[in-house]
Amino acid sequence: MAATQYLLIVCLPLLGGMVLAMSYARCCRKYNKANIVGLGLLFGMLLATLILRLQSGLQLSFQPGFFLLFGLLALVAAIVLLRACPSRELSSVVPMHGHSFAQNLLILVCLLLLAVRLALLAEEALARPLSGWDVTMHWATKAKVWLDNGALVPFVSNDSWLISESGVFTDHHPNYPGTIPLLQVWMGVALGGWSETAVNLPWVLTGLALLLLFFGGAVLAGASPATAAVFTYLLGSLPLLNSHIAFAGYADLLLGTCYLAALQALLLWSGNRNTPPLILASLLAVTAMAIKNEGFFWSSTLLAGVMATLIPIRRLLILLAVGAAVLALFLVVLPGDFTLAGHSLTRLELGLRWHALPALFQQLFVLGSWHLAGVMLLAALLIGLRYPAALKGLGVLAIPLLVALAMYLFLFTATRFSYGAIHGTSANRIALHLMPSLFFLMTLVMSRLWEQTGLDLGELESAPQID
Amino acid sequence: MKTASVNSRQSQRFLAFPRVLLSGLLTLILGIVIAIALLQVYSFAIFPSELPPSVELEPLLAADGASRTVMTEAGLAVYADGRGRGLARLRLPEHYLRYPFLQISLKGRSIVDGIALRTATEGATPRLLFALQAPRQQNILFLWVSEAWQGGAQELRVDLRLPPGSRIILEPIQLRQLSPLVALRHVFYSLTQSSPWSQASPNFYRASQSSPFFLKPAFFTACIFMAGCVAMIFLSRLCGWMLSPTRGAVVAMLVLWTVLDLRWQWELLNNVQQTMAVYWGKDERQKQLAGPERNLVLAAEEIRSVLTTESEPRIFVSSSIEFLGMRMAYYLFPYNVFWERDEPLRGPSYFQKDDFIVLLQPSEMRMNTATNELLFPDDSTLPVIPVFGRGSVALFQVK
Repeated sequence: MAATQYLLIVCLPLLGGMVLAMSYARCCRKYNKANIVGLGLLFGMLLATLILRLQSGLQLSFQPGFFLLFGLLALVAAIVLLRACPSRELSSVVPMHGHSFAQNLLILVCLLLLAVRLALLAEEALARPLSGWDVTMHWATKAKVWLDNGALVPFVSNDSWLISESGVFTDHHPNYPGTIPLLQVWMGVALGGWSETAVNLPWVLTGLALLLLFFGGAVLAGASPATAAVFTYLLGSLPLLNSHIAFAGYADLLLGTCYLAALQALLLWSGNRNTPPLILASLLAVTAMAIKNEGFFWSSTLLAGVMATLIPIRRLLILLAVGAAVLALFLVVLPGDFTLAGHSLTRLELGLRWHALPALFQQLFVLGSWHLAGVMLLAALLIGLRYPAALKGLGVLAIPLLVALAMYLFLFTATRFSYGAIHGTSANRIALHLMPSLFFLMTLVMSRLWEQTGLDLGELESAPQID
Repeated sequence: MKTASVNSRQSQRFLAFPRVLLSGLLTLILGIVIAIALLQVYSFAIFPSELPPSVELEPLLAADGASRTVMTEAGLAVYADGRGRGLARLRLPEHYLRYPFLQISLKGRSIVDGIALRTATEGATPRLLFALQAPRQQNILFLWVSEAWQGGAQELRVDLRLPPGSRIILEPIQLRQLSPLVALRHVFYSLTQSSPWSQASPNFYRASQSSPFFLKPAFFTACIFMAGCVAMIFLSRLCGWMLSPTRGAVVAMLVLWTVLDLRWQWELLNNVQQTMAVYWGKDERQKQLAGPERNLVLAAEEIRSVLTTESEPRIFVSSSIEFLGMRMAYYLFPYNVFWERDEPLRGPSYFQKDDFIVLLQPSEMRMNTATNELLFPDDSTLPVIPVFGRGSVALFQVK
C-alpha cells in the first residue's frame, strides 16, 4: 500500500508534466521525444510544487490523499489540453538518429556513458543523507517544517521571529523562494514522512531532464544527433554539474535547467513566431524567480532575447548600452534600502574589486570544476567574433547570454559577492545557472561549422553576416 | 568529367579521416612539446639545476608520548596514537627554498588520511605551513610545498592522520627541483589523486590539492591545447593542405577532455564506493549515525526526547563554530529553532520563560553552576535550569 502510494504520488505529477509537454509539442511545429521527456520531467516536478502550493492555499493539509486528488485533476486537465491542441504533423518529428552506422554508434556510446554516470550519481544521491551546507541551512529547514505542519507556514527574519508570537519560523534565509523545499516536501508526502535520502530524488530527475532537454533541444535547433550527443556528453561530464546531482538539495541545477528550457523556447519562438514557445519562455522566467532569487536577473535577460528577435542587432546593442547606462545611474541615485530580488543596494556594497578577477579565473579555468569548458567557450567566442555568420539566427541566445555574463562579471567584481569568487563559495554555483545555456549556444555554433563547412572556417568568409 | 569529380570527392573523404586524426595528434604533440619547453625555461629562470640535497627524517615523540616513531632499516616507522595521529621531524637542508617539491614515499599502500607540515622550532608554538587531505592507496605523495617553504623554518614537524593504532613506514623523503620531468610526474600524480567528497564539493571541484596553478590538470591541459592550436595555425601556413588546425583542435580538445573526465570518473567511482561502504543497507537512523555527525545526531535525538510537545517551544542554538550550530539547528527542525550565523546569542532580554537553549562547545556562553545562570559574553546573565548534557552539548530551559 505504502509503495503504491509512493509510486502514485511521485509518478502522477510527472505523468501530468509529460502530457503537458506533449500538448506544448503539438502546438509547436517541431519536437522530438528527448525534448518532450525532458520538458515533461521539468513540468512534472514544477507541477508537484504547484499542487502543494494549492493545497496550502486551500488550507488542506499535505495529506497524500489530497495530493493524489489534485494530481489526478491536474492530469485530467492536461489530457483535456492535449486533446484541445491541434494534432501533430508527422513531418514535424525531428529524428534523433544519425545518418550512418558510425554516427549511430557514437550517439549510442555517448548516451550509454551518460546513463552509467547518471546511475552512479543517483546511487550517491539516494544513499547519502542530506549534508550540503546550504541545504541544511535554508532549504531543507523549510521543507521539514512545512512537511511537519502540512502547510506553508511562514518563515520570517531573525529579528521578526524574536518578537513574534508562535506559528512563525526562521532560518538563515527566510525570504528564499519555496520551490526547492517543496520538491523535498513532495518526496516527504510520498513517503509519509521525512527522509534524509529519498528527498534527493528530484535532483536526479533534474539531471536527467537537463540532459534530455539539451540533447533534444540541440537536435531541434538543427544540430545533427551525433554532434548533439557529443556535446550532451561533454555537458553531462562536468564535475560541478555532477556534484550538484550527487550532493542534492541545492537550487542551482534546477535554475540552470529552467533557464536553458526558457532560452530553447525563445529560440523556437524566434524561428516560427508561434505563441506557445513565447508563453512557455515567460512561464519559465517566472518559475526561475520562484526557484532562487538570482532567477530574477537571468529571467530579465530573456527580454534581451525577445528584443534581439524583433530589433536589428546594431540598434539592439545601442539600446543595451543605453539600458546599462540608465541602470548604472539608478544604482547611484536609488536609496540604499532599495531592494531587488532579495538584495538591497546597501547590502551589495557596490565598488570595483578587480582583485576578485584572478580568483574568478582560477575558479573557472584552473581548478577543474568545468574540465576544459572555459577554454572551449573562449574558443567558441573567438570563432563567433571572427565568423559572425556562425551566429546567424542565434542572437536570441547569444544576446541574453552576453547580458547574463556581463551581470555575472559585475556580481563578482563590483559587489560584495566578490568574496564568493575569492573563497570559492559561489562563483561556480552561479556559473552553473548559465553553463548549460552557454554549452547549448556553443553546440549550435560548432555544429553549424562542422556540418556546413566541415570545420573549414575559410568557407565562412563569404557567408552573409549576422543581421 | 563527372567521374573525375566523384573520384576526387571520394578520395577527399578517404583522406579526410586520417588527416583529421593526424592533425589532432600533431596538435597534441606540439602542445606537449611547447608546454615542456616553457617549463624548462621557467625552471632555468627560477630554480637552479643542482642535485637535490637530502632531507633528514627523525623520530619525534608527542608531548604525551602516545604517538611514537622508530627508525628501522626500511625507514622511519610511525605509530599512530589512539586519536590516529602520527608524528615525525623533518630537518631541511640549507638551500631548501630552491626545491619546491617534496616527495614522501611510503612502504606499502598508503593509509594516510591527511598530512600537515608545521614549524618545529624549539620553544615556539608550531605554525601550520601545509595541509593536505591525502588520498589513500598511493605510496608516493608528491607535494608542491613552495608556499610552505616561505614560512622560513628549517625544522618541521610532519603530522600524519592515520587509522588509530596503525603503523606506516616513511622511506627517505626527498626534495625535488622543478624540471619538466618532475613537473610531468607531478601532473601524473595529480591525475591519479582522489579526494573524498567534502562540504565544498557543491562549490568547486579541485582536481589536485597540492599543485601550483600551472600544473593543475585542467589548466595544464588547457595550456597544451592552446599551445598546440597556435603552433598548428603557424604550421598550416607553411604546409598548406596537409594540416587542418580547426579539426585538429577539435580532436585534441576531445582527447584532453576525455583524459580529464576519465580521471574525474575514477574519483567519482571511488567516492560512490566509499559512500556505499558507509551507508548501504542501513535505515534512515542508522545512516545518520554512520555519518561524521553521529554525536550531533545522538544529541539532537536526546534533546528532542526531553522537549515538551504540548506547547511549541522556542529553541535557541549557539556555538562559536557556525557549522556545528547550523547542523544542530538542522537536526532539531521541525521544532521552532533559532540559529544566527556569525552571531552569539543575543542578550537575556530576548528570551521568554520556558525557551530552550542548546549550547555547543566551543561557545562564548558560560554556565555558572553555582547560581544556575548562563553568562553572556557581555557578562549579562540569564537564570536557567540545566536539562540535559552530553559531551560538548548542553540543553537549558529558561526560568
